[in-house]
Amino acid sequence: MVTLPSPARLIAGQSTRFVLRERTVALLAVMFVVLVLISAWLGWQATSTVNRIYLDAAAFLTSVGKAVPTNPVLDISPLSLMRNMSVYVSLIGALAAIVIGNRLVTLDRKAGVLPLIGIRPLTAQAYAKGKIVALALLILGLAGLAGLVSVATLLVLPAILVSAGQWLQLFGFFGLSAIYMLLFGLFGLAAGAIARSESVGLLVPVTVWLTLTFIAPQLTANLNPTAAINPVAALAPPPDTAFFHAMGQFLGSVSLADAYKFSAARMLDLLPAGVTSPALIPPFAVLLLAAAATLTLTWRALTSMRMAQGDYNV
Amino acid sequence: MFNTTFHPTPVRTIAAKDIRDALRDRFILIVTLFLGIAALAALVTGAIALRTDVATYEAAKASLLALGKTADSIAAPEFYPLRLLRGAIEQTEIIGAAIAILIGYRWRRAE
Repeated sequence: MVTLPSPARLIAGQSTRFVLRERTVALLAVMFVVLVLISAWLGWQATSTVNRIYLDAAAFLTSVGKAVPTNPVLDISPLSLMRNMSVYVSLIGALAAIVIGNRLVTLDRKAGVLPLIGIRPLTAQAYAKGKIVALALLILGLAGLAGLVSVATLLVLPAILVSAGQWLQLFGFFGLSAIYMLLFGLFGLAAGAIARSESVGLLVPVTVWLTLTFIAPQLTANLNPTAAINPVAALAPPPDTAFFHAMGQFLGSVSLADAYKFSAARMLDLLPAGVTSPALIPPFAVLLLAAAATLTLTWRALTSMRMAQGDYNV
Repeated sequence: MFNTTFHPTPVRTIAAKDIRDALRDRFILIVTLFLGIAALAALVTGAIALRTDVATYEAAKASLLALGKTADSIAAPEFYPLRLLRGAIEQTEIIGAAIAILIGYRWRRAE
């Protein structure tokens, strides 16, 4: 007996194929993957250079009968090679997620597909579920690809030994990155469904992303935009004033970029000893709460969208 | 605004029409305001940090003078107030570029 796919599965499959055919989405996804490859190559190059110099020095010291110090490559966590990955996730990854989320609903509205779906025996809940599943699959694909590149880089470096716990941390980091990108993707999806104008549907999530990525770190820790996206410089302590203490505690509790920065640094062994997030809510909890909030918003936006709704105004 | 009454070439006419449209568009107004707020936030946080540095230096100097020493005992302060603009410049570079792309996209859609 042939079982028919559920409406939500149909919507998810069709949406995924439709979005993957979009050149803008493909371009952003390719850009993300290329940057991930560059990041991995830079980490590999830096470590293999240090290792090669160490091996030459060790051979020389052995030949003259002197003691050989330990390999400096082994003094740092191998996961710290992936430090630039968090930069690309918070910049290109989040932006790609917004565009994917936006296109998932925008393409239906512009192509006039919504009224056609509306006359089929299909609930708004099935439509919403299909769209969210499609978004989650695409984001997981991006995070999975970045994860594969990282694993391959760590495996080809001969001097690097990654423990079981560190492999788990690495998988945790990519899980965290997927949640972070999904947050923005969901917001892009909700804005695309609610907005009357196509450009406003894209502007609102991009503005929120710009605010969280560049303006919030300025207010919580006096970090200029270029420092805010540097995985090491961004962990520097803020100026010791009442203003920054208060902003770190309160604004830091809703600043997703700060929460991702601290969580990613902990997962990749980049967090210096004694440095913790000043926020009142732990960083990972901030991300989970934000994920729940954006999921609720997106569900409401999609289920309350009028299926007779056609193209945007502008 | 361009004067299109005299020498109205096609380029001038289109440019003048687009500028008039932009000035009437709330979208442009809001994003320009947002860019101003971002630059102002950078300037204010930089000023707060600089003020703290100056206060720390003044306190150290006052302590030395109270102990009967000269102010030369500590290194001369190096404050660069113009550096306060760095954050605002970076905000304009990054946020301004992203917003400019969106404005261009909106105009193309409007056409």
